[in-house]
Order: sequence, then structure tokens, then C-alpha cells
Amino acid sequence: MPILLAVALHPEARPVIERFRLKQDASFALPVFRRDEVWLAVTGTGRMKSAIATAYLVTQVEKGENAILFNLGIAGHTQKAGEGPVEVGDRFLVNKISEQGTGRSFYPDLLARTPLAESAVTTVERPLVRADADSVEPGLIDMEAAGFYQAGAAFLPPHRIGCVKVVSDHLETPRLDKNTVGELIAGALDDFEETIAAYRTVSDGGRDVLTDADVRIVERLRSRLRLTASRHRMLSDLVRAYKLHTGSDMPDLSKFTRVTIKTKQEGDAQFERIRDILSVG
Amino acid sequence: MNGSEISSRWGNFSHLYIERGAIDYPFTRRIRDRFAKARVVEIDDYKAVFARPRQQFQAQKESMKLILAVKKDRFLYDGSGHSQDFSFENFYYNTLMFNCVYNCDYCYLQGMYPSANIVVFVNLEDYFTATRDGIRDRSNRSQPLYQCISYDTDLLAFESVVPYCRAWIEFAREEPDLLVEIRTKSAAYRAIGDLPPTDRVILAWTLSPEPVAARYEHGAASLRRRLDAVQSAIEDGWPVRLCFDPVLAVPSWKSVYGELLEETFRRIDPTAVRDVSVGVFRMTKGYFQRMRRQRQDTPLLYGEYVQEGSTVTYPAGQRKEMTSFLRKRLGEHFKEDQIGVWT
Ligand code: SF4
Repeated sequence: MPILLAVALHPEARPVIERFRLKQDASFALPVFRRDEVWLAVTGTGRMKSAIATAYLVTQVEKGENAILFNLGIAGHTQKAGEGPVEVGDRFLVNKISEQGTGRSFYPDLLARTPLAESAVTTVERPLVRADADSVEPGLIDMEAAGFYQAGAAFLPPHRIGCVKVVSDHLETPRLDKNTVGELIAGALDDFEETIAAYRTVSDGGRDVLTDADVRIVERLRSRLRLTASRHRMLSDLVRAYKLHTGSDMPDLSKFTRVTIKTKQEGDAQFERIRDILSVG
Repeated sequence: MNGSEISSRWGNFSHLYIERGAIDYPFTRRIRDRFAKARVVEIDDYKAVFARPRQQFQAQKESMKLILAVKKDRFLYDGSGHSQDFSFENFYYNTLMFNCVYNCDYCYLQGMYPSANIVVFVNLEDYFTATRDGIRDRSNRSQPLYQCISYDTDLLAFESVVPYCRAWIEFAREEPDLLVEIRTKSAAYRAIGDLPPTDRVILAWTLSPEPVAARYEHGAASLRRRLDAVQSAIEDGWPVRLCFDPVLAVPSWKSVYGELLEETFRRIDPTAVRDVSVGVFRMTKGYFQRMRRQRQDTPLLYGEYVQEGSTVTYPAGQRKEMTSFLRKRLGEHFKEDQIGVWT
């Protein structure tokens, strides 16, 4: 299962790259770092850049459609410093993403139980100043989450998309230096890693009884017997029915992968023989 | 990434999504109190959560969230043409909630809804108003308005969270021209057991052979506990309906369903039962296909099915044999007009 990470800035990415010992993979058109099943893209700032890089990552990585996808980054918080429980360095799993520009909201599916507290985030176009804090829902403020999420949700189910934010300021700090950003992210990495581990334990449900090996045999039969798309689907369902009703493995159909078919009728006849074998009547 | 396999899934109702417009309703407050530890997410419109693309129904079933919303319209659906209506001409149903706490393998909600999360509509008064209007405007005034309130869900199973059965029973008491059906696979009769019975509410139990209940009706009460509940309801004087629906073509279905009937009438006096209904498995084609795409792990969705019009069901011969078998056996205890059959 690929783990895909979309991170806006190099200073945010650096501690992650170090922790997971990622290496730059120059075969990508964007800065992408990877090792084994972990891939990290440095997306650039803003929701558009984040969306583009996220879509790119999901579609370029092999089996990207099976991935778990995370955005990790720093964020401001609407609460005034010292006037509530939230402090710089606190980290949150996002449960609601509001896009200031469109007024739309998005909701990652929270099936995995993680060590993180939760918060809403509002994605803004331009950094929000303290004076405008009341114009958005109380909570986190960032510039990427809405773009990231919409791009991810075009490919993945919502329970495999997560967004983790580390509070960097209370909308008062004009500019953070790189080291501070790196330290904030580094401080959140234990929780982040545990969060990813939790997401990995959640399966999609309704698991297919066809194993990869079954699928390969069905594929071979399809090309050998020149089955139409609908026959191919039917064959897959016949094998599922056989396995589910008998509780046994798929019967040996290898002899059908060796037959030679000259006409459509011959293909049909072989298909009927397979159907007989798989019949659970 | 050490991939340590800690158990890391939220249980049910770890999160409450609450529409801003639903916040001040009494049922919302009650549910918030009931799940005081749940994390609350404020939302504008329930559809933004419920109708997200690519949700995985069965993955969500293991950690269902609760969405509290205000229904804006369609408080009463015309049900004529659906289901067995026991020749009630004014047949209606409503949706007080979407989805169900149980998880039956054959449940068509998997094909009907984009999400397994439970939506509870908290504006009950609007439903009552629509029902009163429906009673007033019903076409056949010699019959009551017949309304199923647990149609796409199991309302009694959720009674401890939202006491809607109770509310509707009390409502029905005030409405002489209303007949309500509450259908369930639960044993939660005691949640309403303190209420005096009324002949304006039929309590309907779906009964399944124990092997079917145990294997395919996840979360629902065992047959024994359903029969206990039926017995208590009868003793208290409620009109009770027994539903054998869906009848499934499980291996040796004849003996399995034969035993179900024997067990049922060993425990329950048929003369104390208002009526019974029978229906062999059938489903709208679109739902069936969507269910198959959602899950490839249950034998109930893979096997010998035929398509008749827009319905997927068993081949006609088999269906007929199953229906006549049950009808004949039930005919030993019930008059013809007490047996509602979907054919
Ligand atoms: S009890 Fe009814 S509504 Fe609930 S899961 Fe089972 S079939 Fe579906």
C-alpha cells in the first residue's frame, strides 16, 4: 500500500525526509522523494499547486489508487495566543476543510483512531491577518488543504485521505524562519507516524474473494477464449459465486488456458463448459 | 513506518456531524448527551458528508458516524406498488432516518445510499404535519392512511438513541385514521414495552431462520430473542405481524424455513398474530449491481439470479416453489386474507 505525502514547503518536508530516509527520485517532474512504499512530493504553496502536485503523485505512483494520502504542514490558528488551550506546536487531524474562496466544505472520513486531536481548517487564498480572524470558522488556517483534498478525493475514498496540521502561529507572526518550521514538523512526527499506521489498519471492506492469482487466471481465460467484456465480468462473478458458496478455492481451469479458439462459437462452447464446472446450483 | 498493528478503528458514533440548522432541536440535544464523548463536527448540509464520492460502505459500517439533519421536504412517500400492502389503498412510508445499525448482507441500502453513516432527521414535527395532511387528503376515505415508518431502516433497533417509535405510537393514538407499521429485526421491545398498546400501530417482526440470522444479519437479534420480543408484545396486547421476508435460497432452504415456521409456532400462538407476510429475495437491479461493486465477499450476491424488468430475483420456478411452500405452511395457521405475499 503506497503512502503518499503532499507537503507544501521544503522546510516542512526536510524532517519527514530525514525520518523516513527518503531519497529524491529524479524521474518525476516535481520534487519527489521516496523510499520503498513512501513517496513525498513538495507541492509548493497554495491550494492550486497542492492540488496539481497531489493529483500528479496519485496518478504517477504505481497502485496510487490503493494509496493512503496525507497532507502535512504548519497552520495558523484563530485562537489568540494564551487565550485558549491551543498552543504553537499542537497538532491536529483535520475533520473539516472549508475553502474560503468558494465557501465549500469537505470532510475526510475518520475511520482510523489516531493519537491526534481534531480540528477544522479553513484554506485561504492569502495569509489571514489577526484582524480578519473572525471572518472564518474558529480553528486552523492554511493555504493548501482544500486543494489537496479535492485532488485526492477525485481518486481515493475519503477514509484514505488525511490532513495533519501543526500550529505555527496565532495569525500574528509575520514570517517564520526555516528552522522553526522544521522543528515544529519534527516535533509532530511521532504522532504522524502513528496516524499513518492507524490508517493502514483500516481496510476498504467488502473484500474481494478473488485473489490476485484468481484474477490472473481469469485474465488468461479471457484472452485465450476471446471473451467479451460482459462475459469476462460474468466469469469473474461465476468464480466468486463458486468460492463463496462452496468455501473452496477456484477449481483448476488451466486446461482452458491451453485451448485454441478459431471461431466465436468455439469460445462460447468453452465458456459454457467452464460455467458448468463453476455451477453451484 | 513500523506498521505496528494496533487496533486503530473508531467504534460506532465516535463522531457526530450536526447541521447548523439542527443544533437547537431537542432530539439533537438528547443525542449529544447520549454520546457525550463523541467529537462534534458542525456542517452546513448533511449531503456534503453523506454523499461524498467513493465512500466505502462496508468500511464505514465498522465505524458508523451519526449525522443529525433537518429534512427539508418529502416527509411522506407514496408507497403504492411497493411491497405487500395488504390491500391498503392509502399506503405511504417515510424516512425518519437513513441507514440502519444492523448490517445484513442482503440489505439493499448498500446499493441505495452512497454512505453507511446514519442520518437522523430531527424535525419530527414536520413529519407529523405531513402525515396529518396525508390523512386528510387520502384517496380512499373508507380506509386509514397506512404508513410504514421503519421502511428503509430498523427504527426500533435505534430506539435507545432516538425514541421515534415511542413518539409515533403516541402520535398514532391521537389520529383515528392512521395505521402505522413498525418493522424490526431487534429484540428491543422493552424500549416501548411500558406503553399501552394501540390498534393503530402494528409491530412487525422480520423472522429469519437462525442460521440465516447468525450468518447474514449482522448485529440483529437472534431468532430466539426476536420470538421472545414477539411473545412479550402479544402478551401486552399489541397487533403483531410476522414477516418472512426476504426468503433466501440458502442450501436446503426448505428444511431451514420449515424449521423456522415450526419453531415460530411452537413459541407463538398464531391466533394471536394479526397477519403474516412473505417475500422471496428481490431487489432493484441498480441497487443489486451497485452492491456487487461494493462487496465481493458474500454468497448472497453471487449465485443464480435472473432479471425481470428492473428487478433481480431468483428464477421464476424457484421463486414460485419457495413462495408456495411458505404460503402452504402458513395456510395451516392463517386465513388467506391474513397472508400478504409478494409475487
Ligand atoms: S435490518 Fe433491514 S435495514 Fe437494517 S441492515 Fe438489515 S435489511 Fe438493512
